[in-house]
Amino acid sequence: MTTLPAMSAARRRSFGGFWRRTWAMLIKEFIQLKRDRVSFAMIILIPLVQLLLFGYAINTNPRHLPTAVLLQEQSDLGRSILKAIQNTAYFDVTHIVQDKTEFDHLLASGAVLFAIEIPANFERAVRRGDRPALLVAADATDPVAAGSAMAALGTLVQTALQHDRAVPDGAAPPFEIRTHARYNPAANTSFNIVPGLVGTILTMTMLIFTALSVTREIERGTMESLLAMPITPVEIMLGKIIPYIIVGFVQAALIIAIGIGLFGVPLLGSLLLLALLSTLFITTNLSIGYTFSTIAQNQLQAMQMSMMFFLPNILLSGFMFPFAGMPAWAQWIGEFLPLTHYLRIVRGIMLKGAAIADLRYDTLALAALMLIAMIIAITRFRRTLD
Amino acid sequence: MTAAPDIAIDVEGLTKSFDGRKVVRNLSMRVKRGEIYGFLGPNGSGKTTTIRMLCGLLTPDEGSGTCLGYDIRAQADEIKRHVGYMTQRFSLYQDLSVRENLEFVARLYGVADPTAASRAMIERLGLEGREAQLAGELSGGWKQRLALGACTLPNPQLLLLDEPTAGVDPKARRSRVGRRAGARAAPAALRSRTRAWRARPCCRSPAA
Repeated sequence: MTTLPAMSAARRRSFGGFWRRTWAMLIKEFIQLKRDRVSFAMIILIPLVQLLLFGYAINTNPRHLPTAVLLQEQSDLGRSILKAIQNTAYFDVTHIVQDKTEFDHLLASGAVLFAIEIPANFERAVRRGDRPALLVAADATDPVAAGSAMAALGTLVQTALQHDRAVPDGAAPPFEIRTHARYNPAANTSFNIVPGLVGTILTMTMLIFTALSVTREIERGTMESLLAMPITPVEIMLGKIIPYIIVGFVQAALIIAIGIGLFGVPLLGSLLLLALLSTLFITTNLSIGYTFSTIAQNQLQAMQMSMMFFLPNILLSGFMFPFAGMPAWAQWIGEFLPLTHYLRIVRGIMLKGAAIADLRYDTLALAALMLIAMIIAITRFRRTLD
Repeated sequence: MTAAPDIAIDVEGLTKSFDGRKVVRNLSMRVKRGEIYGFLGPNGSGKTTTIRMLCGLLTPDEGSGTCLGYDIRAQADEIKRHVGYMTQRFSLYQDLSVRENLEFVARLYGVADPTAASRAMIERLGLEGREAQLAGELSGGWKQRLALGACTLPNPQLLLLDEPTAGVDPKARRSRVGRRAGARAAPAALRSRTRAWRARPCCRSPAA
């Protein structure tokens, strides 16, 4: 009986000690968090910015899809159909072309998702009751983007034409709409997802590799002697980026090989072009990660910056949701993300057999993003300990 | 090149503040080549800050001067090429081996045969048998020795050693290995010293 109170007192003491030590740890963590203002700001800003950004930008039922119209004849009916297409919210006629080569190029380069062809002698054939075909070619590399618009196309044109009194109410349309889902006729989603994953995985891994590189040197104390040695910021940057280009290249090769071998994703274009432009994309992401590394004060901040950059890459690049379906401002942000351009490149080469001429814009955009990141990194790199 | 060729360090009126607190105030000094120059002072008196200003790692707020004849403000790159700087905190790569660290330094300085140079330095430092050991696994004294070896490896004209014997036991301090390695490489050396060294009246002395 005498030992029992003593034991419980000891237990009570140790229990009190438990909370005291936990409390001490808790206070210390709060002090550190409070002192790291950038991290603290990001904790508040990240969810706020991301929520507003993605909440407004993401739309799984895309509208205003860029469309090219090939007018093979100048007729009232042709113009009526064109107007009807323009009046629907689904399509946004961005190009009116006269020749077939340009029509094909616009689809291959990804400049438009739909291309509608009004063939020669269309109106005459309608008048004769021949039910001619209105040809609609859709870029089906992203089945989600094309699907709903394609489904709606027939009814929309019909209703619009009736509204325009081009056809009588209730009558069957005097022409048929022949749709052709190009590049991915079976609407196989893995054809779209696997090439997209190449870009997404590369973005994630490459960013992290270099985002920690400079902050790690600072935190481990090796930066001081490195700065005291005869090496320039450009040399440090290149020395840190180049090994990971090889790592990224191996990674890309692995994912693409699995995509082709296991998922049956076609590779219609040039493998060499894909390898070259993938290397450019890898280098661009490494440069951006490195830039974060020169801006961040510690590894936590560098990680947060990478996450802040990674999320819009996933959500606004056209990887998860159709790019063309986002509002203009979100597309504008998307143009500044390397993944947006790489998705067009990798899907273009693999699924459409796109050549460098089709991908000129995206290649230049990637190169420009890489150069901007490198210039910021070099100017931001602190050569002294000031 | 403004200073006389026999002057290693010639600075005037160096001042440096951090967050409005003056750490170094109006410091002027002149060190000849071939001299060992000691630097004494309590914690926070600006010893490390001064060394960092001399090797171009910090920009002085005021004052000017030369190090090995090169302007400390405008010619930091040249200074770095000819000065060996041993930091107060171990700043080599913990996850590289002794040999890999030395070879890295040798390559950065453009030493003709980095492998041979690092092997020779390992021998000179008495680190044979430890060349494959990760630097992070070395004891404090061995780390200091390795750091000294790394900064003397490119044969610098001037050695700046920031508390080179901190954390090293008295026996090792008296060991001539480190001193010899340093003295052979550099005709002039500046050392930042702790209180333990204060008793010794050797603030300025010709190199061994």
